[in-house]
Amino acid sequence: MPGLYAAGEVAGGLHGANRLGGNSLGDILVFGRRAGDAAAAFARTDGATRAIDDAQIAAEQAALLQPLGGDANGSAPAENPYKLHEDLQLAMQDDAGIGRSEESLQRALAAILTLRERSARIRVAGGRALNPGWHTCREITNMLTISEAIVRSAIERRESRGSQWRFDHLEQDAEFGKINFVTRRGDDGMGVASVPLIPLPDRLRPLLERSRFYDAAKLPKGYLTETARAVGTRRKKK
Amino acid sequence: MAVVDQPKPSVDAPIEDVLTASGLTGETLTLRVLKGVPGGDTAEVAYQVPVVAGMVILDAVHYVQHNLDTDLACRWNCKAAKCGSCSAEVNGHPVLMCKTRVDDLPAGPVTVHPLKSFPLIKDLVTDVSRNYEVNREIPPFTAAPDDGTPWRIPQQDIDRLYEFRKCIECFLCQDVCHILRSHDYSDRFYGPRFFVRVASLEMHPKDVLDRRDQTRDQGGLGYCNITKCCTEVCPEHIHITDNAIIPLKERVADVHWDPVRFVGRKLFGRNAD
Ligand code: SF4
Ligand code: SF4
Ligand code: FES
Repeated sequence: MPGLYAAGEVAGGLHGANRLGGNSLGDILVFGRRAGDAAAAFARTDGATRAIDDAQIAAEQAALLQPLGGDANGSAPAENPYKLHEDLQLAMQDDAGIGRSEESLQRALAAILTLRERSARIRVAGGRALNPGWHTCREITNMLTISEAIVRSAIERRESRGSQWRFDHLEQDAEFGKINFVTRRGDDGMGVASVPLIPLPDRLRPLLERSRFYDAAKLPKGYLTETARAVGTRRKKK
Repeated sequence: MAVVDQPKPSVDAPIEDVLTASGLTGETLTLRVLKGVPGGDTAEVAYQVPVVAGMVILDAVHYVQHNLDTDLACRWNCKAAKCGSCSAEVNGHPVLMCKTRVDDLPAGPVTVHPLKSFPLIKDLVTDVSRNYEVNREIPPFTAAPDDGTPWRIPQQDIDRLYEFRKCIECFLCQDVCHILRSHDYSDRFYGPRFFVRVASLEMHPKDVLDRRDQTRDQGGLGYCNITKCCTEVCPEHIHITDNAIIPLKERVADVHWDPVRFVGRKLFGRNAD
């Protein structure tokens, strides 16, 4: 989308499979600067003034205002956005945490899709001024999208890597190390595609290859597998 | 990865069950929140909130938002007493809602009101933009041109500045100070938060500007009569009055009321200080 710039962690993917606390500082500085420079340059070009489709604006406004619009359609009762938020938290916490499996992820996906249906009926009281319930309506809509993208991609990644422990695929798989999963909105919902990683510049590759995490064969014996297996068995017993 | 043994509430469990799993005490708190917008009716609305062990007032406000009144406006962000957003007056005391435990308050209804010294926007949200204007009036840290030598700053100076650096801009001190609260002198009085900022700049050994006249003339430092109410409410425990305001007053007095320096300045200019 021309003119849209991202700075910070939302720029995505910088830290690979794991993301340690404090790493975001690097993202903030590097991408803040790059996005700022690029946005300033873009603002000076002709492309910066462009016609926006009025119909799109109207549709977006209608979507935003819908939760303020009185009764929910149909016979089903209106939904409270905070309830949806809590239910989504529980579903993600229980089934899409660091330790996950195909089974748990499918459960999470089913929960998300049900919540999405319910989200069509969110209604809140009050007006547009500083109305946190209304803000939550927007947030929950976005959170459902993000959660679905996370879960669908996690299902496809049949390996354990970084902060994903797949109880049903305990090993790191070198082939998965060469691709990213990208989610796109399609006509019939969200689709996941695998795209090859952009090769690292030559000057950086030796750095990464030295890391024992780059190549599963170099991982210390028992790393991941033992702990994950223990947690996995305990979970299954429940 | 924590393994939770206790039974987990199902995804569709009502909020009460979720709370039971996380420690409902069985008590009920009556929260009387001031609701309203300027020019409209403002009135206390009473809400009944089930108390959870360790609950803070911000939790109770969130319970109200989630379950009883989704339209109740309040600012918050970190829930860790670090962002300075959730300032309010609880039982009449200016506090951070996220740092005020329900079990620390006397039994009975608890009132939650917006900060009184700032214009109301809605419910618990006030317009604190005057503070940002004042902030912009204070010239920022300015060092002498770099001459290539590394800075050496004595540890005492660092410690002194670190205290002021702890400020989270909650503006509780601005709220409680009678110069702003009762006299409404926000147009001629910077307020304790900004005396802290000026002090941190004036006491920085590498800063070369002089903000003393400005602090006296536009900042209204003289209005402060050292009641220490600001110090009392500061959640970061900054000794605002003792360590920032009084030393600033002394520095201003040095310029304007020390007869020897006064004569020196008349004869030799500002550098005679
Ligand atoms: S000590 Fe001064 S700044 Fe602080 S509350 Fe009292 S009058 Fe206001
Ligand atoms: S000095 Fe203390 S009370 Fe005042 S704004 Fe800073 S942290 Fe808050
Ligand atoms: S929510 Fe950040 S200080 Fe209370």
